[in-house]
Amino acid sequence: MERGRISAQQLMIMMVLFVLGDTILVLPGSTAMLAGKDAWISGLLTVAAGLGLIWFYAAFQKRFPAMTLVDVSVNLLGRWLGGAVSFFFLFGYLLLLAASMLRVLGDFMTTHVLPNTPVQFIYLLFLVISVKAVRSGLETIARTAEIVFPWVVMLITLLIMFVVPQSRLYHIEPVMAEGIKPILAGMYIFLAYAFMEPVAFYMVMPFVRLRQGKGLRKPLLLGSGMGGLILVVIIFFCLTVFGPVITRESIYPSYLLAKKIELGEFLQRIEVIMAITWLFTLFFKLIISFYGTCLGAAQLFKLKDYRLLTLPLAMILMVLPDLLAPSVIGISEIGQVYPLFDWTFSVGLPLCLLLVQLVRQKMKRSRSSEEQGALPQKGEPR
Amino acid sequence: MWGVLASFGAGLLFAGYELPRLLRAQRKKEAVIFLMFLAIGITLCVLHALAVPLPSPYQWLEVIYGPLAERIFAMLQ
Repeated sequence: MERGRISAQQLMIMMVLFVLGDTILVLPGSTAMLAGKDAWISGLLTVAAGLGLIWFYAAFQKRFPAMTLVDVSVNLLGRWLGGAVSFFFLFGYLLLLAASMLRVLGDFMTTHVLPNTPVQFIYLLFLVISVKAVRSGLETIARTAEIVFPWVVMLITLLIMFVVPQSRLYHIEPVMAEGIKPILAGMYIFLAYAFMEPVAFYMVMPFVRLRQGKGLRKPLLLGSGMGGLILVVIIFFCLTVFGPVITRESIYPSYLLAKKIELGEFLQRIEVIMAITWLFTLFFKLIISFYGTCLGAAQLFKLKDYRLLTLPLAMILMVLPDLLAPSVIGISEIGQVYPLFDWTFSVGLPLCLLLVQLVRQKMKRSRSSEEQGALPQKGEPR
Repeated sequence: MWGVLASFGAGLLFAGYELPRLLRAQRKKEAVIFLMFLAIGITLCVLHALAVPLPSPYQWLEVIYGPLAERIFAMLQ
């Protein structure tokens, strides 16, 4: 299937890029819509809660080493039920995630950068390199991530450095004036978008080459923690530069932030250079979920080569983003419902699988103790 | 019209790229699955190019998760 192996460091970098993903572009707006001026607090709380979630993913993967989520569910639930569950995970969740990435990208490009270009051409161009990336395999994706990562970090650092002078703390005062409920509402969407969508890494984590005694936990936690903190910083500066109202009303507050960059008279209008940041991060979120879909489908249908499915799935991905919603507004409205979808697959599904495994182990143990005859624990209630 | 032609053209191109290798290696089952996915892809592309209204996956999500989401938001307000 996949012969490539990636290192723990590469996993960490991919995790940072994935967590930033489309969220760096849209999350400040949607979190501020729910949490108002306290969005940054709900961001901080979310990072804490999200690290717990990531810890759970690592623990799950440790229980089933060298198995993707598809392997695990087929092994535990059987060919048919497990196959159906994996089918929904792959073509319901991962493919839809990839389509959503394309849609966010297409909306952004057509509204801000290339207003006269039909959106299909933007999808097409992006899909061509995505297919190329997925066909090249996981190792290539990981190495590309290593090349791209410093640029993303540098651009984000520049962005933040340049807007610091324009931030005014009175925009976010008084802190927590509306109580805890808006903060929780902000967490609801932030947690799902930033820390539940990395469930796509269940298709990548089995291919991480680990050194003796090292676990997946450290790179995953470091990567997602770093990504999450960057998001919080960006939300914080969106709020302090624009105030909660503009942040809430705009669809791409980070882009608005980039437009604010001004160094004297000579360094202006460099927002499109800043936009490279989310082109990169969106690209990685897209290809990792696309890769997961192809690999998982190949495992599900027992194909020798997952590359076979890249081209047909790319054709489906040409259409799917357009179908999602009629307009940009529809895309941001789905933010109320989509987190629950994330919950189902990132927490619900692994928990169910763990439960099944526990029950099976117990049944096996009680059966084997019955076979051995009169053992002392036989009569014990379990 | 161009969309329809492009969809069929792309489909043919992809099949021409992948199929010979598969058939030479006698991997018939994989060829069938590939063609299945390709057929779905071409169908979707053609229907979309002809502006046939197709269902939106987000609408299904609304139907499935909408009531629960509403209850959660009612709790948080």
